[in-house]
Amino acid sequence: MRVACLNYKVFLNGELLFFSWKEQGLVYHIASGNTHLLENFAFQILLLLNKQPKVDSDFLMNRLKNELLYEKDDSKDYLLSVLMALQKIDLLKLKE
Amino acid sequence: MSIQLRSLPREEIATYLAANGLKIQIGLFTLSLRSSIPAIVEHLHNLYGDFKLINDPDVFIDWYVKIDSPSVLRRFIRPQIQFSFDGYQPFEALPKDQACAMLEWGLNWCIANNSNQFLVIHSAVIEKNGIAIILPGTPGSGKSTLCAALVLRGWRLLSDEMALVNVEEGLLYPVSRPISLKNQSIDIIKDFSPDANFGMSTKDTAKGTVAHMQPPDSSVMNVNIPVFPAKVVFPSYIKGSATKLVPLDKGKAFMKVAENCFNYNVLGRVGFNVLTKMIDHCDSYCFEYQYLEEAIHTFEQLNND
Repeated sequence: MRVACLNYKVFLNGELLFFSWKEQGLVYHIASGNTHLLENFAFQILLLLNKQPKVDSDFLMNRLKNELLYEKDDSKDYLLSVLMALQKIDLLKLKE
Repeated sequence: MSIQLRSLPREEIATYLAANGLKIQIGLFTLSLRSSIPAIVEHLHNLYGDFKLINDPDVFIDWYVKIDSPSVLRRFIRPQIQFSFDGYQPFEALPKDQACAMLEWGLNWCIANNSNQFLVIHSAVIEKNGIAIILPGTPGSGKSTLCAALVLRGWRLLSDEMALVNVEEGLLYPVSRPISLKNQSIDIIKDFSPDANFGMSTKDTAKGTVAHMQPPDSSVMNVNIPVFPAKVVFPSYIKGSATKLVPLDKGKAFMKVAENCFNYNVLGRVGFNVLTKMIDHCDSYCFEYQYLEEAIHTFEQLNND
């Protein structure tokens, strides 16, 4: 089964603080005290989730396509890989 | 009116240290120091002459420090000394001949552990013409050697060990004290400036041989003048390296500074906010050097940019 077929519900894992420069963003996870330096795509995902907490991965993909003009053949796979990476560092949670 | 420590003869310093404590202003901090160790008297007389003494009994004292033998036995058999802060001993006792080094390390500990009104960064800080440069670095990076050379060429010393960034307005507060040099750095700086005044060298410490250089009198006099940070430079002494100053992007600079902070995690969101603002306003660089003259030339250019 391709991961890209799945549609996940996506939640932030607690409150975050944000700060960004051109191509990079910093995220401070208040609950853990961890700071993460993220590339722009991952940073924009978290910013979107911070503004709009109840979304799923399909909705997120469409928003990112519209706002970041990000569109490649493997874009959904890439989005899910980034979401999973963000889940791994406890910044968000995914539910099928 | 406060007087400078240099106005006291050694005997009087020893008397204060042995009785109720010698009270010294160190930047924003006030220290009451007690000791019966003759080397401490000499260390203070030699390196702290420009520091102001506190003679007002109503001044609040931040740190009550004692450095003395841990027991009567240890005064005579394999003599040792113990550093106490408000009656608490944060370190193991050390051989008595390391008393001066232990005092300086202990004062570093006092600042790093009791200054949460500041973001405390492990770094040297220097300033010239209002341009303050933070030099974060781990031991062995060459920051103290570079810092010593720069202050010997007219830069103001704010600290060779800790940048104190006020969490409210982002200003750097000086805490000018003797510069700690280790191993070959001692001879490098003595060769660089034969007039530099050093305390005694202490051999066989956990860090090798350690010696302290007197801070410039102008830096000690101007210790009440804070300044905004303008640049962050990460120095690396690399033998055989050409002098190289490379801009560093802000995200990486933030993470590198955060790694060098003593209390970033303690301050939580306050630490994140003050450090993002600081990095946003500063230009950041990685700097490799071998030769001090070339390094100083690079810093003069950086200061004029």
